[in-house]
Amino acid sequence: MKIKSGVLGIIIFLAIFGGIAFSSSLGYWQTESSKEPAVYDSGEFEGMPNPGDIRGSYSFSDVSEAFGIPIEDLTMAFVLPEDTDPGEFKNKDLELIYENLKEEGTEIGNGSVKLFVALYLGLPYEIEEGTFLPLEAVAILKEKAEPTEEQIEYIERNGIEVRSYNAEESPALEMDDDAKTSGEETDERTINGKTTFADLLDWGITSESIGKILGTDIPEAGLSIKDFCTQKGLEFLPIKEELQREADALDQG
Amino acid sequence: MKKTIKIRAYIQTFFFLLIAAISINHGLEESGQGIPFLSAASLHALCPFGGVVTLYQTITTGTFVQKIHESALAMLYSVIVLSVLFGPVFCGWVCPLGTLQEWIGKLGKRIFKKRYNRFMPIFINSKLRYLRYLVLAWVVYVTAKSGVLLFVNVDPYYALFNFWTGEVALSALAILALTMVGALFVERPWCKYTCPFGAFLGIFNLFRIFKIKRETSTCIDCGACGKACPMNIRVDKNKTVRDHQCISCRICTSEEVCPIPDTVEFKTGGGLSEN
Ligand code: SF4
Ligand code: SF4
Repeated sequence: MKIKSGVLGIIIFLAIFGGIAFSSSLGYWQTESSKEPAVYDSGEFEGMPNPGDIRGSYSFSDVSEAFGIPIEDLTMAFVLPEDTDPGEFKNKDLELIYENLKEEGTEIGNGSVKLFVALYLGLPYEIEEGTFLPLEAVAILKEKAEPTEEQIEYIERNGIEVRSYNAEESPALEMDDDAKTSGEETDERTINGKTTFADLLDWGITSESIGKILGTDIPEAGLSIKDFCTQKGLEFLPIKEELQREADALDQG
Repeated sequence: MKKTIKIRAYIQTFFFLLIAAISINHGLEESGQGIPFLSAASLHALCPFGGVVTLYQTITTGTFVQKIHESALAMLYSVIVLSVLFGPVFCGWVCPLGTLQEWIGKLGKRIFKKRYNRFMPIFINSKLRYLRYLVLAWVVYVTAKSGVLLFVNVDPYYALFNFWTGEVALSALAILALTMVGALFVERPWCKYTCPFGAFLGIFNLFRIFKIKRETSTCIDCGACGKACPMNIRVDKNKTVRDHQCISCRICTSEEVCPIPDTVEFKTGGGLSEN
């Protein structure tokens, strides 16, 4: 049997578009993931959704529904700007709002959501070294979940002060700014890539305590802490965290 | 007088524009301005090769490799049915990356005339054509192992329809550029030497139902069919084409270049032993 080009062309069309129509009629034509994570297929948690399968394309509402975590806990944990629609906001969008953080070598994204969900529900999950969480998420986990000692140690070590990073969109921060202009004492003492030693001194941290943390004399005050670390070949994050602790202690003192 | 068959060119252009439009729409949709009545699926969801790379994971765990969904498998099934019947018509009639290479090739033909598509020494050429099976094995292996679509980092097809999004790896853009420059000298260089999906579909050439067959009793041995074949297959030396690189483009047939009616045809029949 011979076949002419015209007929072959029609058959190609029919196969491709007919195939799409046919699979649609069976409900099989899905071009997006179902937003239902795969479940554990064995062990104690068999049948439970697996946080390891959470995708960047899931919205916060999808995660909340699939895992039964209150949406407020999720939005608070990741410090989403107040007017954010959790049905629209996708996990991968975290990378956008914490873009500056990424430039500094730390990333809050889909991996952070997986970690948060797993620890929140006490589900088995292999923590990937280098997954960070906002400090707010760490606080919620310590308050509402039951992380093991080891997990607490990890999330404390990898907790990040993020408020200053999503500052533009964050109404919480705008409030802080208002408070500042009205002359009240504020808790806006967050260290980011631009914070200089002069800022630390302004806040009231003594040059001795800074020197102790750096292990060297305090450098030129106008230098940013991050640039100092880069110059000295030091890791920014641990130093930032220690200094942040000093800054936080000022509020309590 | 011979009429030029344009049907394939129309179908290729149609699929090229359709995929381009869907890809642009995917971007628009994310910013809330999608074009109504047009799919805004991601390219991964529509590419049947996604079905091949996820196959291992889907069979073993019932889940899909990141970014791949049911639709890619559905597309794969349709393409497999077509390939069992007609060989890799997907490559020759549908794949937009193949189409782009052909368009660039037209320019190459103008520049180099008869030397076009004949630069590569035969010895290297014949060996290099198996490289695509290594690529196929590598892609299937690393994807099965990682569960992540690592191929996207080198995939010129993804790069072609997403280069404006800033989401494309530099390596993929480089391979796309290399493919486009290569297409000026060699017809379909990506398909010939590296395409893992072409490699997969090429296997169907060994047993497809409709074959390219040359009628030796009417053939005048002018060699036109062999010279015209974009994949450098010596149609004029075979009775039935079973080369793993045939893309079922039908250029060699009496509808297009063979000057004798009913001599090279696309038809059923012919056992494995026949050559
Ligand atoms: S010209 Fe003929 S042999 Fe060559 S790829 Fe096209 S259909 Fe196959
Ligand atoms: S083009 Fe036709 S006549 Fe010429 S060699 Fe091929 S089959 Fe024979």
